[in-house]
Amino acid sequence: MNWQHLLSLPVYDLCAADKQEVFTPALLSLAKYHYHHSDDYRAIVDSVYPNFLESDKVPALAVRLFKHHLLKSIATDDIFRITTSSGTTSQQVSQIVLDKENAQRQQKVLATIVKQWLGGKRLPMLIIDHPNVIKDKFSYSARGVGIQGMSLFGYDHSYALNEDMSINIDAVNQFIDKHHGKNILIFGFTFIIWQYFIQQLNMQKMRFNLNNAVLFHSGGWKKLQDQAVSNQEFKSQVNAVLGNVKIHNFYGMVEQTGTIYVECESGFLHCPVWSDVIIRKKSNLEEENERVEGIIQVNSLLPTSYPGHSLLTEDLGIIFGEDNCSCGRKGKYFQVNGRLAKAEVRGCSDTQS
Amino acid sequence: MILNLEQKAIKILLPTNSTGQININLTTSPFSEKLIDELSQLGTFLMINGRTVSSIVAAGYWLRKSHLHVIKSQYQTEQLKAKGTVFHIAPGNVDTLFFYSMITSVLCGNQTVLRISNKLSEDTQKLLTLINQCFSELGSNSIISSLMTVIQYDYNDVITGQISAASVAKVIWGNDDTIEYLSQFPLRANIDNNSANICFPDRYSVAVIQINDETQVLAAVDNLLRDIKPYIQQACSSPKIVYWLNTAQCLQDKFWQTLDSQLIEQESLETTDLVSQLLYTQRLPLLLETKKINKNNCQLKQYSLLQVMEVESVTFASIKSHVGLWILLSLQIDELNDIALFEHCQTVTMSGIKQAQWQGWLNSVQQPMKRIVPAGQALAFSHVWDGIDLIDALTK
Repeated sequence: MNWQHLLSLPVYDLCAADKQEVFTPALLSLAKYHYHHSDDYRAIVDSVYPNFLESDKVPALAVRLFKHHLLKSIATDDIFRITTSSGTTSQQVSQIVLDKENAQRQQKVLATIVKQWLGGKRLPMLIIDHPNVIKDKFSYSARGVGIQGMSLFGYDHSYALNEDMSINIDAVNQFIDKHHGKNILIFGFTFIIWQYFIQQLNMQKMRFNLNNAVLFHSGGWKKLQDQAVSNQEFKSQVNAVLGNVKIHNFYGMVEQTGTIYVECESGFLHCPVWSDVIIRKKSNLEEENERVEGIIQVNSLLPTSYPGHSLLTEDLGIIFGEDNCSCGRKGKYFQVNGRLAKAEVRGCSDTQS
Repeated sequence: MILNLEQKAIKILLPTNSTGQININLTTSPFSEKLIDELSQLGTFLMINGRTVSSIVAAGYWLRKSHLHVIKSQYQTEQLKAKGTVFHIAPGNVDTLFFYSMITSVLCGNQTVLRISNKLSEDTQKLLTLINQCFSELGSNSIISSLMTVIQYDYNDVITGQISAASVAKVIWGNDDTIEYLSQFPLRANIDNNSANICFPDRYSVAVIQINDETQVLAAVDNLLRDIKPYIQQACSSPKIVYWLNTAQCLQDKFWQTLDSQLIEQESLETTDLVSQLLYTQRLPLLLETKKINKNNCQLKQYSLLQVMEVESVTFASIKSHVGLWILLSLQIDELNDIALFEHCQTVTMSGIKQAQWQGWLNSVQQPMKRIVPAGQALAFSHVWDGIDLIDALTK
């Protein structure tokens, strides 16, 4: 794959036909690359998708596979970092094997996408989390990776929370006073922003008037849905507490770090040129039509050190169209509606429930 | 002595009018005529009022008087005494097993407390509703309603400890971790010093099938379907592996196609389960270590609902990680001696193989499985389960 060329492509400007011409052959050659470089991937493909090499159809791996097996397409000596998904102690976490090149490419692509929304200059950055989430350098948690990745777009990084998740109000005030009148970047995970920042500020009846701020947030809506908080409600509360800040949710996962899907002004997540989203039918996993909810499959050109280029997620979503979003950006645009019900371990052997 | 289940954290599902005060000294003679009489009335009630649900009909059928007498005839019942209060912890989702575990305990005259999963299937809820209805018809003098209590609670050391301390035996269905966890709570000391944890750990089951011509396909399909359809093949007794004994490939193909089309006609999988099915089929080549030993090739035959993985041998990991969901490993054998079973094998079903033939196999080498049954009867409950005689274990 010619990454120099790929990286020179505009993020949101290729129409469907033009993107297809670049993306489809690149994904296929990437899949073949993994077939030849990952014994595990080849074993899966040979057993489950024996016609792969002739059919040119790239199979999607179940994303949970990375929670059970360490899949890699590089030599052990070349492992630069193993990224893990967040998860409570009882859950297994995904393990993503990165070499230096792949890690750098993730950063590069992430930067290119984020610049589309923040502009080219670094901004003073307020992180809605506590500083210790990025401690462990070799094995980052998803939260650490997210913060680490986004930190490149800011300077004067200030953390808004203490380790016990209470607000460090001095740090927040200091940051806001210091950067008064400047464009600032606020970043954090959706639930943490809601629960430990906005709700707490609300309770303490504190208000800010940040008119030049952009709030970038991610991490999923599951916990907020449990509290019946919609994206709409989230936005209006954030605006009520922080002022007229621009709010961009984004969707992404540790298994495909880099290619994030940012929510536009019209409220849709946008596919960057280096990745593709397909919705699969809930009844049989075949490809679903536009405007019908199904399971999200994500294809990305970034993963070279591990075979994570085509993944069936456990998220539900709807594609609303391609190339014709009212915000003007090209490419597919979609929404994420939540997660599939959790798979239960069941059977005679399970009495834990 | 009274065990008080009238607690906030405990939900009593049966009997619905229970006061929650369980007399732990109340027992009755094992297999007494009154017990058999009331249990068979319950059976009739279930067969009539639950006729739309096959698992309830099967439960009712198990309780017919003649069958209870057959069991009784196998024991010197006049010398048996009830053991006392027995605490059963039922498996999560294999619903009807809890019923048989509880009934066998009641048949032995024991005061019986059963903890079931917080997530109940529709069929289980229906079964409980019907038993409650039957209890109110039997009236307040009924012995079985005074010996049966079904509860739900989130696992909680205090409650588990309390009920354990009031019981002389626990019947635990679960994986190794669950069994270890639940075994640690001390039982009530008794004068006979025979308190005991009766444990049913995780097991797996296999099918052996021989088909000689097309006319035999349909019956073989029906039987395997009966064994794997309930509980989306997640019961320990549902075969996970099919060993084909000298059966032509075209007959096997015909068999799988027929099985699949019958499955689609009768069943479907939820999206979560479809994804789990895909996950396990993708895991299988890795669990079977195909690349490491560079053989043990496996090849998926993908049908609509059914997934068949043709394999050369089976690894322990591939069995332990099996999730049901109508995935079968398929192996070719020339003789029964080619079957290699793991220690935790529970049931082997035989289809199209004469008893004389498998008897010879049994006699030649010691096999670990707990039972051999004709195909189609893998899920039929017996009071001797996993080699444990429950009547023996629950009486003194």
